[in-house]
Amino acid sequence: MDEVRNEMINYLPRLVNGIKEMVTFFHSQKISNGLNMLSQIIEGLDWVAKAYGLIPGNNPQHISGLNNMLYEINNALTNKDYVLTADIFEYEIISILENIQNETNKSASN
Amino acid sequence: MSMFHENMKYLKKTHSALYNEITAKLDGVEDDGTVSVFKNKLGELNIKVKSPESEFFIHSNYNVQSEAERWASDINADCGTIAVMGLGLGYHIHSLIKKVNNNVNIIIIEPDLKIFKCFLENKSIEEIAGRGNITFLLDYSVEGIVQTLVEELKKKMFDNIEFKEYSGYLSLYNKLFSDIRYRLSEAIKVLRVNVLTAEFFKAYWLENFLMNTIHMNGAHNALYAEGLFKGIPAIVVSAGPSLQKNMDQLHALKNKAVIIAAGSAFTILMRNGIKPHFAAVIDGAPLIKDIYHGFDVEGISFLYLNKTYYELVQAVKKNKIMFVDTTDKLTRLFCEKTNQDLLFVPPDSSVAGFSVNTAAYFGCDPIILIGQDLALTDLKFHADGAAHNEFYENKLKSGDKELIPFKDIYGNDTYTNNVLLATKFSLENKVADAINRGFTILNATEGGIGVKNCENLELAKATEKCLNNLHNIPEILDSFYQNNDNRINIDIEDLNEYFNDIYSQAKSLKTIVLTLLELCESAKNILSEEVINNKYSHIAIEVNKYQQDMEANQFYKDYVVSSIENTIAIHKMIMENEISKSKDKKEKNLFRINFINNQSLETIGICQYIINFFDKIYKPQYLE
Repeated sequence: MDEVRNEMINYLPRLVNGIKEMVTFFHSQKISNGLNMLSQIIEGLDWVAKAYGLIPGNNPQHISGLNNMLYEINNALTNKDYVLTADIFEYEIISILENIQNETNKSASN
Repeated sequence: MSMFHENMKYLKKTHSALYNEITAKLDGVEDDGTVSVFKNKLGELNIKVKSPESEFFIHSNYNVQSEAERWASDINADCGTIAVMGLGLGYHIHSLIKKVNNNVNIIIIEPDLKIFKCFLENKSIEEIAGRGNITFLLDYSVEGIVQTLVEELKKKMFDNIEFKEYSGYLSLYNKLFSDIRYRLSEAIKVLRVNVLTAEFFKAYWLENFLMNTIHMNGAHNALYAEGLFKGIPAIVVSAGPSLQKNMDQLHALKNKAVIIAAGSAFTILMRNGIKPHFAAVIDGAPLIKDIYHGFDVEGISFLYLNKTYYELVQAVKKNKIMFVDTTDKLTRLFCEKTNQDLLFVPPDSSVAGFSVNTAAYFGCDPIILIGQDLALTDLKFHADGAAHNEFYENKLKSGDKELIPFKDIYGNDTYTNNVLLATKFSLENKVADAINRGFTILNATEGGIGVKNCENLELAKATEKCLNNLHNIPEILDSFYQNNDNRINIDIEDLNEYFNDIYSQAKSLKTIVLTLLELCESAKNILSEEVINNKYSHIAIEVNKYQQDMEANQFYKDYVVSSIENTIAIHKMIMENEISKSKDKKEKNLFRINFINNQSLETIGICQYIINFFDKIYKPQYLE
């Protein structure tokens, strides 16, 4: 469990930075660059969701929040609405990941 | 009062043309629920656009201000004009306005009237339009938008235009935007060629206008030739290298189609023993005479503009039909002052475009193009036999950048250049217009890079398809020419009165401009002194006054500007550029005086030309 927690603590900042880079690509209309990063980021989010689910005392709302946002992202991508895609990552996903980060750090120090 | 009504009240007061346009266009806009305004997560207004398959948001659903600033952040603030695709609720426009200075021209293109209505219902247009140098373009047609952008480009001649789509519109209008970018780049090529052409020909157009107008009587008025050959096919022959492949077949087609030789194609046809029904000529420079030199033009009709090279027009004694292009302000003024009714046609940089337009005006259908390579096929500009030709092997060997690689209609490598691409763009506009009016245009050019929207087929196939019937083309023409009502008939008294009037106006303007030139000279002398004190400010007031008098003078506006507006614009652009770079007040004043001096010299040139013309070449009766 400690291992999973430690991996999460190391990985989350990198994932957040990757998301910010992808968001910048979408906002500056470098769509193909953004899309190139998307699949890795989705994989990363999938790992975070699974790993977070294993940590005792986790908040299930974060997982359902992530799933809901992924559903919204899927709709936005279907409509080729890259502004909305970027916004969801920037304002929703990053926020959820930061909350997970804070909780994980807290539980590691307890 | 609702925001919509406040906005309309403001527009009615300050932007009446836009007000009228909006009123007319919004009249037909139905509220079908596909476009709606809502509040995003921060309570900011946003627009949702619904289609049967999906929905789009124009602005960010999270933070419109942040998105707007991010959008505006990479705009080049030094450009002359920014064309923004998409208005939405205007957040990004406000960010743009904060970023660029007030001299930058902003054109806002809104292709969706429902979105524009949402804007008017929810946001203040005064906050944007009140800045000045803002143009709203409510259009969703590529050609309409490109035309307006080109007109704006002409005003700011050499300044960069930046074209930026607003992100929220990309999903909805991606194809429209990419079409606009493509067509605009083509139109800029045409504009550059036209500006260079205008500069090159400026000296000739005034002379051609005066001489052709004096001898206008006796020509036939194109106004009466509409539908002259209704339903009869036409072949528009251009001088591209592929024309050689069609020469043998053309002999047999003389009475099966109206044959129009466009420009240089005339020489090639005549040297091959083919007399076209029409020779179309629009060039204003003396070189055009070479095309017709030495040929017996009996039985050939000429189609020309009032600004075509006058010696050629005069050499053709009969059977000539005159058109006027809409940019010919001098002839337009003449018509207004003498109540003449002539046919004004859209301008064309290519004689082929003019010929296609004329064939459609005559009612010819289908219209078949041959020799329309628009490429340097076999590294030649024209087919063999042209009066002037150019060969490009050496340029290809030296890697000359004039040569632009292209694929021809068979998928083979060929080359073209900017002049031909400009012709292509211009011709394709004419072709599109004719097709929209129900005409069939076929491209039977057996080579070259093709003409958009035209089926490519060999002349033999085109002949089989639509050139099977004989027509009485010479008889139709004879009947047209024998009808005296078709002739241009200007009363000689009216002509004399008109010329008297411009002669005396030219003299009157010359007097003002001579004084202005003296004042400029004095101003330059003062500026060259070490210490200026108040001497310069006194003379600057006089210079400004005389410049204003010159620019307000009706003859200046009508005749000088019509003849040399590009030249004056170039001088002005140079002045503004130099002033913006200079930090020294004396130097800035000198740049300004130099501009006014150059403007005055150009004006004097025009006035003196007209005075000399009437003193030495044509003396109207009762000339004072």
